Parts: sequence; structure tokens; C-alpha cells
Amino acid sequence: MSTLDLRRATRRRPALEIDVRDVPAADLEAARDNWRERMASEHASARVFAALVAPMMRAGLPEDDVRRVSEMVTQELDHARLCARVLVALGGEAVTTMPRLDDVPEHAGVSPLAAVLRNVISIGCCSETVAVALVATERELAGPEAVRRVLDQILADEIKHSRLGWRLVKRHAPLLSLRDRADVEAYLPDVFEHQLRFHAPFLQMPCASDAGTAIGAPHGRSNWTVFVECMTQTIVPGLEACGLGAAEAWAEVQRRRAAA
Amino acid sequence: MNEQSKRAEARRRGAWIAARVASVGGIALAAAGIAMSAHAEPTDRAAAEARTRATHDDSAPLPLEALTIRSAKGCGCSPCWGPPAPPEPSSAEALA
Repeated sequence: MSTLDLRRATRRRPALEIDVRDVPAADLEAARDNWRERMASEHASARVFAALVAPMMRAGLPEDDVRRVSEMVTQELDHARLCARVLVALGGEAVTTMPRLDDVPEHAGVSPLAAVLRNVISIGCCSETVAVALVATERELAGPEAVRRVLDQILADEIKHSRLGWRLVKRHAPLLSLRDRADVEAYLPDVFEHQLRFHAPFLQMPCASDAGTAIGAPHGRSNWTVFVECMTQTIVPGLEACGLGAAEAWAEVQRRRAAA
Repeated sequence: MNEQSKRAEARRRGAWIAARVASVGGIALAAAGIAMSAHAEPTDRAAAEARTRATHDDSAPLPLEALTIRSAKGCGCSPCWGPPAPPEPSSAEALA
């Protein structure tokens, strides 16, 4: 386990001003936890975009797209620093233990294009699209101007990350060979299962008050609802519109879970 | 506006932005920036409100909750952010 220490980086920037006098203690603590975890998560996600660059080159994707993805690495690192500044403004310390960092799959045995699309669907079309819905919701509920500005910046970048995923899938999925299409579709149940597993902790999270959600304390039930609606009303239909069998994959995940 | 209504309205706008990003028209919307999130109106307000009543009541069961609680061991931790391991090839595929 390594440590992520953004205290020095935070000190180099002007302090954010966030008034927390009306926030219940439990909600303030939940908000600090959320921004600290988000700081680590944003930092860790930089490695995922970095791992996309070589496979995109291997698949012969346009230089513009490769460049955009390489810029996303820096954007994610910047998000971690933004989260650190909010954490400090809430009275926390911008240091945390980094969790285990899993390898990004290389998808040996499938074509370079299918390998890229598998990861792009998971990252751009699923994770980042859910992130857009969640951050946009949180931004609507944000109170202090400083929190709102940070969420604005994060949201603007998450929109770019999601949009790149959808653009690549829309461009390439309809033209896939039968073999490549089968390889991409075979991965969809695992992608969806992963999304459910990743977001399931929302169901155990407390539900913060208005004052708490205004500074970033999570409302577990609300977040879960955002996630499920985004999956069922945006992502699955969106992938279907690209000619991929996403509805069947989503149904397969639910059958697996019902049988478990 | 009470807390539940405010959250439901925020979710509606969040879902709408995500849907636009995922759609062809989303490219134009995203380029226009986030300011639109505060001003643009979703086109299907009636449907959104119906969903709000059905799923956004804080005392109502949540969609997919039962399946998830029964069988998921959610981690929610950052190392899981990223694509999952691919499926194992079947024995026939491995031999091919």
C-alpha cells in the first residue's frame, strides 16, 4: 500500500472557503470521508486512462483520440488535487492510503480494436457516464460556491471522458466483424456486473441531510437511484443503439444474481 | 421545495445530462458547457415525474436493491475503478 499525500500541493493553492457551521457533525465527517475517498479514486483512475494509450495506438485509432485520452490522465490527477482542496477546507488532511491498484485488462486473444472497445465501454460508456449523472446531481444540490465550482470542473471533464467513449463506440461498433462483435458482447455481462458491484455500497451508505449533501456528504439511496436509472435508461439503450446486445447482457447479469 | 423533491429534481437534471452526453446530440450539449444544466428543460417532464413518484420516495424499495443485497459483495473502492478482468475463454475457444 502506498500513501497519497497532497498536503504540499494543497498548500500551494489558495485555501477554499466553505462555511460548515450549520452542518451536523456526522454529515461533516461523512463529507470529509467522501472527498478523501474521491481524492484517492480520482488519482487512481489516472492509471486507467494511461493504460488506454498503447492499445489505442495498436488499434490504429486517430492521433486526436489518443491525445485526448492522454490529456485525461492529467485531468484525473487534477481532480484529485481539487478534491484535496475541498477536503482541507472542510477541516480534513489531504493524505490517505492508496488502495490496491488492479491491472487494466489487456484482453489477450481478441483483436486490438475489440480490446480497446471493451475497455472504452467499461470506462467511458459506463463508469464515466454514471459519474456524469452522479456529479451533475451532486452539483445541483451543492451549496457553497467553492464546492459548486469544483464540481463544475470535475463534471466538465467527466463529460469529455464519457463523450469520447460514446463517440468511439458509435464510430466503430456498427462496423465490427462478426468475431469482434461477439468478443465485445461477451464482455458486457462482466462490465455490467462490475458496475453493480462497484456501486452497491451506496445501499449501505447513510443518507445525509440537505446541509450535508450541500458540501458533498453522500445520500446513499439517492445515489443508488441515479446509478440504476443511468444504467437502465441511458447506458443499456445507448449501447443497443450502437448495435450491441446490451439488453440481453443486462438481463443475463440479473439472472446470474437471482440464481446466486 | 422539500428535501425529497429537491433531490428528485437534482437527479432528473443529472440523468438528463448523462443521457444527452450518451446521445448524438450530447456532443453539442457538452461543448456548450455545464451552464445548460441549470437552465435547459428536459423534454419529457411528465415521464420523469412519474418515475420520480415511483422510485424516488425515500421510504419506497429501491430498484434492483433486493438482488444486490442478496448476492453482491460490493467493494466500492478505488482500485476497482476500471475495466474488470475479461471472461475466461471456453475450452473450445482456447483450443481453437
